[in-house]
Parts: sequence; structure tokens; C-alpha cells
Amino acid sequence: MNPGTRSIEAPRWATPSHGSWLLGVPLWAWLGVFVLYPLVSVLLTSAGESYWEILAAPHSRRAIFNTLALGATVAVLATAVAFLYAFTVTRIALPKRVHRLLHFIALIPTVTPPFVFGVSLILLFGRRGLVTHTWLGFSGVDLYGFPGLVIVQVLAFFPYAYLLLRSLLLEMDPTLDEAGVVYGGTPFYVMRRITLRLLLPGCASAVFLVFTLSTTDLGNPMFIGGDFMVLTSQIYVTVIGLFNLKAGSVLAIVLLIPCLILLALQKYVAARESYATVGERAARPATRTADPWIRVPLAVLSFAMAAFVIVFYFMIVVGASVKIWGVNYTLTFEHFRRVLFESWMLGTRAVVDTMFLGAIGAVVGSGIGLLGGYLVTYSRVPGRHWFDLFVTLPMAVPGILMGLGFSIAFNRPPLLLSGTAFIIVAIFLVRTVPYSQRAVVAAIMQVHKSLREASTMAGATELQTFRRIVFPMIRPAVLAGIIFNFTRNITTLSGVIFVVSPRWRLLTAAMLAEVETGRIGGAASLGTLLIVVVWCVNLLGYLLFERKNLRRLGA
Amino acid sequence: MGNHHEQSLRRGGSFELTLEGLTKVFQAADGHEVAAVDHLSLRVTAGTFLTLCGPSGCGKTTTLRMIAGLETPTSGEIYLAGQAIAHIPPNRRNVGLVFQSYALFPHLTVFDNVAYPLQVKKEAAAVIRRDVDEVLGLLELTALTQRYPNQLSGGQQQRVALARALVTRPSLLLFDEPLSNLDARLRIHVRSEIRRLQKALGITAVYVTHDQVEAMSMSDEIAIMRDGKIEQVGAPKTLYFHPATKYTAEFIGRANLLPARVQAVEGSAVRVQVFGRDYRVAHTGVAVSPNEDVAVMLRPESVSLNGGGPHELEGTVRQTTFAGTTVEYVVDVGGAELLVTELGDSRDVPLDEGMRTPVRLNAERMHLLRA
Repeated sequence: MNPGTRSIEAPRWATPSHGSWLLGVPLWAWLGVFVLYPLVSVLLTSAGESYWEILAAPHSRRAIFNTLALGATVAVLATAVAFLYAFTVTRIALPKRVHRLLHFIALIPTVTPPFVFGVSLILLFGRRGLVTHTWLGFSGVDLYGFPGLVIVQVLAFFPYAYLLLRSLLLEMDPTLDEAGVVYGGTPFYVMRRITLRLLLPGCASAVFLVFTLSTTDLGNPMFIGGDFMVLTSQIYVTVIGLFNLKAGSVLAIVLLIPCLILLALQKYVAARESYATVGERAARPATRTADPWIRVPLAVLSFAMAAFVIVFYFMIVVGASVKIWGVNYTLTFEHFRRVLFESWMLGTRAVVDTMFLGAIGAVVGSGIGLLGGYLVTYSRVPGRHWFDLFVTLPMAVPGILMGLGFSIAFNRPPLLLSGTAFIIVAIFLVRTVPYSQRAVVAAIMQVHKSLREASTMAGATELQTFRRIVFPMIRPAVLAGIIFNFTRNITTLSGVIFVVSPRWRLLTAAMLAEVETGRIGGAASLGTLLIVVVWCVNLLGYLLFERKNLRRLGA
Repeated sequence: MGNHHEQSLRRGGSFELTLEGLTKVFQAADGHEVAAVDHLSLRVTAGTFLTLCGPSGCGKTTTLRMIAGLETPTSGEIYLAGQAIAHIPPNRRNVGLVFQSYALFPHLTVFDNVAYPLQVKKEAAAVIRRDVDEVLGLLELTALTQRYPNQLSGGQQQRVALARALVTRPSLLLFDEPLSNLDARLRIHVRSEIRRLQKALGITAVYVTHDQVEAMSMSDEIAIMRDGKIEQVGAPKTLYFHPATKYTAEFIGRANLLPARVQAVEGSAVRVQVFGRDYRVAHTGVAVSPNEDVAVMLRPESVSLNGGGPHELEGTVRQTTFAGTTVEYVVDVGGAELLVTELGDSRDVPLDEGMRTPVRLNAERMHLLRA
């Protein structure tokens, strides 16, 4: 078939099979109950004549302005840093081990709750911070508010932009760079005129992505925002502190607006982006420049970023292990003992509940994502394109809005789920299935069409082809998805803050409680436990799946 | 499908393939409907190796994919052994297809790749073992059974793809430009290998390629395609020496198409004037009348650059291309450029660009075409 053309009619035998219906109906029901119903609930709660009154209130206007200012600043800074970092990793001549180390360090924040960096900022630059108080001798000085949030969010979110730009740089045809040099450009000129120019759409996507991450972050504004209120912290305070569900809902809907606009912009840019990535992955890596004028500044900057990440990361472990931060730096396990074993073993229960619910959510989420991916790509059930749209909708919905929706919708009949484990798992699923399904669809698209056709020509049915050819080839992606889901589940705060209950506790929520009562040592030790769990699971996943697959596929 | 036919199809053997008014309409990106294949009818007799040949976009691959069942015809019918199959799903047709990219399953060994068509039919393990071993032996792959596709060379991958297509003893064997990923030397080898196997098994085969040399050297019959239609079907020699149209003449081999004027029709011959000289050309069935403008096709090897004999012309050598076995000249004769080939060792004194040379056209090899 020629590219750009499609068959007018579906093959005559292609009527939806019973299997597809069996799959499609429950998936649609799931979407209706756990995505649309909560969102509609928030919408209905927010509706009313006082809508504009709530928005016009000074604190609302300030929160909106602060959210946009912080998001824009962080997005631009993080993307700039990410481009330079990605350029260093892909285009600068450095020992291979250094490249790998830089890449690895950049991955750390993506498996860490962003507010871990916030806790570290308290430890470093707070009123009794290591830098501000102990070293510089200030008292009562801190970096809370806008500057602290910018630092922390750039550190926490630049890796997402980096990963995006890195993959674009790797996919870029290296001959373009080479041509740029052959026709007389200096390395710096080529970087500006060719590499950066081709990467502009990717940079735009990165800006949008980081903007969304910044505006939907709840933990850091809560921990270190101080008087600098943004929409997420304003919503939290309004709902939990003032018990004003209506005002909270209005603000949550307002928060949705920039997210939807950015998603639309991202799609628009992505649609025009195609020329930046040239077909298949480049057959050979790009040449790396050794020009000192590029190499030295970029290497220094990247090492500095990496060092910041490491320092902020390990600060939390140190903070968890000393007696009284800023006063008495004696090593102790007191904080761990207290959070784990005091108050009816609250911390221990949080660890167990978090891992248990997170794991169930991760496995079930991957399963649903697999079924959904199959439905979207293979089956011929009517409405499957709409299904893809709806299932990926929560990607654009801030966690705090989804969580608010759950707490409103399922706190009353007919579906009274508040306080159950089910509501927590359900919100995990809603927030991870979009990614699982996208990953499955992307992996299926990687399986060349001719392989499926070859299987069909060999006499296999559609189901046989999926089971025997497609599934084995996408299995690594599915398994990696489970690890990803688990990590996301146990590190989210904004999504679960409104659905945790005394019966089911989660580490992230427990950390917030510690910070709110001023027990930084306790927060740091819970954060350390969270990090340890994340690392164990990711390492286990790597050992179990990745290595085996790498070996088998001879890659 | 009748049980009797199903039985006979399963057993393998030679079957006739007929395409009747086959049409495939695609919707282009701008919304226009494009007939990729346009009322195409064709008969491939049992055991024949037929090649669909044409430039890219002529509909040859779409035709092949409809025969395979990977595309459904917009209209028309396909008969295999007298049986209408256009609307039978591809997985129930028992047709073997060798893909351009080979489409070997990367996560399966050579053995499992070849066994796959039998496994999905849930054949007994012993039967699978026997049939796979047999076909692997036939293609000299026995030593590679436990390898994965990425551990094989291009030629080996090609043979595995062929083995997988043959293992079920298909009623029909289809090839979609299977040699385009091989280097030139290997291509010639695999070409003869495929042809040998197809003859030995007596299996009807349809082969798609844009490479006319490949088509000529492998096929019993070639169907030249143009804009979704068949321009001409015939044996390679027929197409080469007696093309029905200028399109075929230029697509198969290289051709000089010389403007000519009919002087007289003399029974089974026609007297035409080319370059101001009269030639008696065999009448090819094209109805012509005196004073009509026609074209005369003359292959480059039917032009001689040696003097002597009647009807001698003179020309200037414009370009010389030495290719080893042959030398190619472009010779300017009265403003028209003539393509001439000679054997590479035929001259002691080379004929260089700018030199004058006698030119003789072989009237016996001239072929009359509509202008």
C-alpha cells in the first residue's frame, strides 16, 4: 500500500469478535465510573453563582498568578539546563563511563518524589539549614517561597526534559551534523544552526511538560512554599483547612485549564515535529565534539547539575540520621525508630500499605494497559479511538483534581468507597493506566507490520498472532511498565492526599504530616524509606527483566 | 470451501490462479480516490512462475497483497484452483508469502520460525519435526536451526523466509521483491535457487519486482504493469523481441525507438523508411497503412558500427561506456541518438567520443510499433 493512503473499507471478515466486545465493554465501564464520574462530580460541586466570586478573591488571583509565574520560570530554566545536559551526554567527547554516570544521575529524580528535594532544601537552606544557619551563621533566614521552589523544581523536573531531548538527539541523523561541519560550520555554529534548530519543537514539548509538572506539584509548595501560595497548595488548604469543597473545586477546575491548553499545544507541536526525527533510529552514533569552547563549559555545567542532584538526594538520608538538624549533628536512628514504631507503628504500617497497594495497582494497571492497548490497536470494536482519548485523558488532569474528584464522588452512595483500600488502588490505576496503555501501543507499533502479516499468512488467527508474536516482543515494555507504575504509585502525593484514611496509610501522606508538624527528621526518615523501597524495586526489576532481555535479544 | 478442495489444497501441488476484473481503490490523503489496481484480469496456469513487473506505484504489490489476502479487493474476484478466494481470510488460504523484509520473528529460532505455520495449525509435534527438518534440509539450513534471525546473514535469512513459506506445502507461492535487500552477487545466486526450487516442487508462483533483469531471468511469464493495469503478458523472449507497446519495449531491456514512415505493405512484410533509407520489416499484426508514422524498435545489440553492406549510415560517437563484457555507445545519427552495444573485446582500436563511424541497422531485428 502506498503511504498516505488507506483502504476505504475494512476487510469483509473484520466484524468485531465476541472477545473484543468482552474486552471493550468492561473497559468503557471502568472509564465511565473512575474517570468521567469523579471529574463530573468536581464540575458539579464547583458550579454555582459564587464561581466568579471565588475566583475574584485576592488569594485566588494571587495563587493563579504565582502558579503561572513559577511554572513558566521553572519550565524555561529546566529546559535550558536539560538541553545543555543532553547535549553533553550525546555530543561532547567525554569518557564513556562519564556519559553513563551523568545519564544515571539524571534518572534519579524521575524515580523520586519531587518533594524529597523540598525536604533537602529545608535541610540545606532552611532557617536552621546547613548552609544558611550552620555555615553562614544566619538566623531566621531561609530560601522558602519563589526562589527555593524554582531551585527544587528545576532539580526535580529537568530530567524529564532531558530524557525527551536526549532521545531526540540520539534519533537525529548524525549525517546532518556532519554535513554542517563539512560545509564549513564551527562546532558551535552547527550546534546553534543545525542541532538546536532541529530540536526546537522538542524543546517546546519539554517546556510544556515541565510546566505541567511544576503546576501540578503539591509537595514542594506545601513544604517550602511558605507564604508563596500556588493553586495546588491553595486547593489543599481550602479543602483540608477550611473544609470548603466548593471553593477547592473551583480552583481545581481552574488548574485544569493550563494543563489542557498545554496538552493541546504539545500535541500540535508533536504533529509538526516529524522532521526532527528522521525515520528510524540512527544507525551509528553522532560524532562527539572535542572543541574546548563547547566542551569545558558544558561539562562543568552538567557536572554541577549532577552534583546538585546527588547532594540534594543524599541530604535527606543525612537529615534522617542526625539528632537535631542545625543544633546537634550526632548520628542517631532515633527518627527512624520514632516514625516506624511509635504511635501504634504508624510508619511501619505506612511502609507496608504503600508497598502492598502500590504493587497491586502496578500489576493491575499494566494488565489494563495491555488490554486497552490491544483494544486500540487490534480490535475493531466501534469507538476504540474514543477509548484511547478517554483513557489518556487523566494524563492531562492534575493529580489533585482527580483526587478531589474521587473524594467527592466516592464519599456518598451509590459508590461509598472512602476509607477503603480500593479507592486508593483505583486512583493509582486511573493515574497509571494511560502511561501503561501508551507504552503498550508504542511497543506494538514497534512490531513491524510485516511480522503480523507473516503470522497471518502462516495461518494464525488474530489472537494467536498477538499471543505468540506480538506479546513476546512487547513483554519487556510491559514488565518495565509494572516497575514504572509501582514507582509512580508510591511516590505520588497530590493524587492520594484526599483519599488516604486512618485505615490505609501511605508514606507520602505521612511525610506531609511530619513536615506540617515541623518534624523534619521524621519527614527525612520517611523519605529515606521511600527512596530505599523505590531503589530496591527498580534494581529488582532491572535484574529480573532487563538483563535477561538484553541478553536474549543480543542487544 | 468444499472439503474435497480443502484436502487437495492442503496436499500441495500445482494450481491455476485467475484474477478477474480485480480492482483496489484507495483513498489518498487529499480525499481523492485512487485506483491502485484497475480491473486487472490475469491467468497464471498451474506450475507457472509469473512475475508482476513495473515501476513503483504501478499496483504490482497491491495486486500481490490481494492475492495473499492482506488487502481486500474493492471489486473483482480471485480464483485459486477454480475456487473464489477473494473474501477468504489470509490465514485460511494456505498461500506462502516471502516478504521484502523477510519478516522473520526475531524472538524465535530458525526452527521455530519455520515451525510456526504448523504450530498455529496445532499439528502433532512429530509431524512438525518431520516437515520442518525436511524443508530445512531442502534449503541447506540444517546447521542453523537453533540460531536467532539476528545471528544470520542476509542470504540465510532469505532462505529461512523461503522455508517458512514452503513448510505447509502451499497452493501458491508469493514473493514481494524478496531480493532487494541482498547484494548483487548473492542476488544472482538466490535467484537461481528460488527458480530451481519452484520448478522442482512444481508450485505456482507469483513474483513482484521492479527489476526487469530479475524478471527476465526467473520467469516463465512476465506481466508488465502500468497504472494499475496490465500492459502486456508474455514469455521473457516475447516481451524482449516482440513488445506490443513502446512502454513494454522501453521497460524490458534497452531499446532504440526510431521514428519511421510506412512506404508500403507487402504481404507479410512492411516497407518503412528510417533515417531516409528503406527497410523491409516483418509485419507484426499492427494494422498499418502507407504514409503512416510508426515507430521501429531496435535493440542496441542489433545495431552494428562496422562498415560494409547496404543501407550504410554514418554517425558521430557521443559517449562511450565500457562495462567489461560489453561496451555501450551513444551515436548521433542525423540528430537522433542511437544506443549501440558491442562485445567488450570486439575492437583493437577503440572508438572514442567525437569519432565518425559507419552505422548499420539490422532490418531482420526491427520490430514495428505504433508511434
